[in-house]
Order: sequence, then C-alpha cells, then structure tokens
Amino acid sequence: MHELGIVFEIQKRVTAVAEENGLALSDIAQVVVEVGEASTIVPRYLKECWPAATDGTEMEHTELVVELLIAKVRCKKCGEVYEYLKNNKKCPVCGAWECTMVTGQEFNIKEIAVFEEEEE
Amino acid sequence: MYKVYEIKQRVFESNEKLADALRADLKREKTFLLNLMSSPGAGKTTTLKRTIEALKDELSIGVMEADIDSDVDAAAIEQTGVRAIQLHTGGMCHLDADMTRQGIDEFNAMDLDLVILENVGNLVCPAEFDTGAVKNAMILSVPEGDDKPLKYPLMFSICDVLLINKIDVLPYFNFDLSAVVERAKKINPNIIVLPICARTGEGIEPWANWLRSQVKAWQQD
Repeated sequence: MHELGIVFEIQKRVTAVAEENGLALSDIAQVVVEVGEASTIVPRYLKECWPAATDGTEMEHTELVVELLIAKVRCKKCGEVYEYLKNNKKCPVCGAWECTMVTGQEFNIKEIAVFEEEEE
Repeated sequence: MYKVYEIKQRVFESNEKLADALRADLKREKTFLLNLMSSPGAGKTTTLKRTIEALKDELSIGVMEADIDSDVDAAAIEQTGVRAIQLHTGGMCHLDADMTRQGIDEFNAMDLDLVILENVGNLVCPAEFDTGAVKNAMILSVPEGDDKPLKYPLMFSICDVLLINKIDVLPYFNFDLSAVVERAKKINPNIIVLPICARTGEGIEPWANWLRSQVKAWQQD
C-alpha cells in the first residue's frame, strides 16, 4: 500500500505542470494518468487515495482518471513479443521466462483537462 | 468548456530531476551517499553500527535516520561517535530526493566521505522514490522468510547489494538461502548478495570492503 505517497507525487507533478502552463489548480477538472500493468501501482488504490490527498486543497474537485496500459515483453530466447500477464509470465512460443519489458512499466501524467470560461 | 493539455510526462520526473541534481552535488563534494532499506526489524540500525565501527577510522561518516516520528535510531547511532541527523518524514512512508537534500544540507561543509541514509522501514514505497543516493542496499533478515524477492520485486530490482541478516538463526527457520539468491538474481542479475550477522559481526568485513571500494571509486573518477 504505497499509493498515498504516489498520489502526493502526482499532485506535486500536476502543480508544477500547472505553473509551467499558467493554469490555476482549481480550474483543473480532470487529471489522466497512465499506469502500466507491471508498474507495481494498483489503479484502484490510486483512485481511493486521491480524494484523501486532495481534500481541502485547490484540487479537491479534480477527478483522477486512471488508464491501464497492458504489459508486453519480448522473449530473450525466440524474440516473440507477448502479453506478459495473460501468458503467465512465460513465452507462449518457446516457454522461456527470460524477457525484456517493452511496455507496462509506465507511470505518466497523460493529460489534464482544464475548465475554461467560454469567450463572449 | 474544457481544454485538454497533453502532458505525457512521468509522474516521478520532478523527484528524479532533484535526485540527479543531488547526486551531481555529492560528486563535486566527493561524498558517497548510500541508501539503506529494509522492513522494520530487519536490523538496519545494528548493521549500521557494525558498519560504522568497521569504517570510522578511515572514513568520515554521517548518518541520516529517516523515521515517521521519534529519534531513537539517531540516539543509538550517535553513541558510535559519528554525526547522526534525524529526518522526520511527517507521516510519509518513504523519503524522496527533496527530504534527502535537506538532510545533506544539515551536514553542510562537514567534508564527509560517506553518508548513510537509513530509510523508513518498508519494502514497498522507498523503492519507488530515487533519493539521490549513489548506491542502494537492502537488508533481508532470515525470520522474514525466503519468499520476499517474489513479493517485493521492485525493491530487489533497484538494489546493488542485498545483505541477508541474522544468519545465526538459520537453523531455526525454514529459510532457503540459495533460493533467495536465485530469486533475487532472477530479478536483478547484478545484485551482490552478502550474508551477515550484525549481532555478532559475522560477514561485516566483506560488506565494509564493498563500501570502502565504492567510496574510493566515487571520489576518484
């Protein structure tokens, strides 16, 4: 259960990004993060920690959206690229477990949606 | 109306930048920073005291104790005669590069060869946050069980050294030392595994040797 610390890190990162772009934190309606399946971060816990971390801050009305990225690896023996978890961490072609991660360890802020007044 | 800003940045990017900057400063100061991690009760403080005893005549050493609250560890370390600083994480389960920087700044201009950061006792969160340390080490103690590399792969993957502590009680536990080595190396082929007993001092010399050579290499090139 390390998601609370990570949620604080998301907040810090979003704050920095908002500063760079001249945005007010209270205008951010949505933060979309990408979490790799093999990143050791549990999306459900992230979502559950978010309200606790943002309570009483300028981001308390900001919604956190988590998109899961499938973990894919390349087999070191035969070169096959396969879905890591679906295949029980073993190459479906040759049965080897040695592999290099292609996708699935990401932990990114993908985008933020900001509320803007319609111009007259 | 909503406007969507594409960001596509790693969440840990701020922390990683701070960590890299800290490492660069440490390099200039010729100070080697070791991040020591383990679960609560694995023997971090006892291992530290042994390590300090082995090295304090040749290296100037500082210790940063990270704790959610309390200063019992810092008090124990100060008895060895080296400077110890207590960092309070304010309820957080890990240290990040910013908190580490504050600790390093407290030592300012002390001309230290080696600073050891005793991270919060936890095998999960500290693995996610780069502290700015030059090398990472972890302690796994025999009573915790030989399945830990399977349960906490990230921790084992980021460590340069794995100390297996409390080997004096091996006969009383169902702990397969070779299985741990195999499991750890499967995750991290370069990890160095050193069995120790901090209570008796067994195995501390090879560990002290590793640290000695790392400090020397960091100060030279």
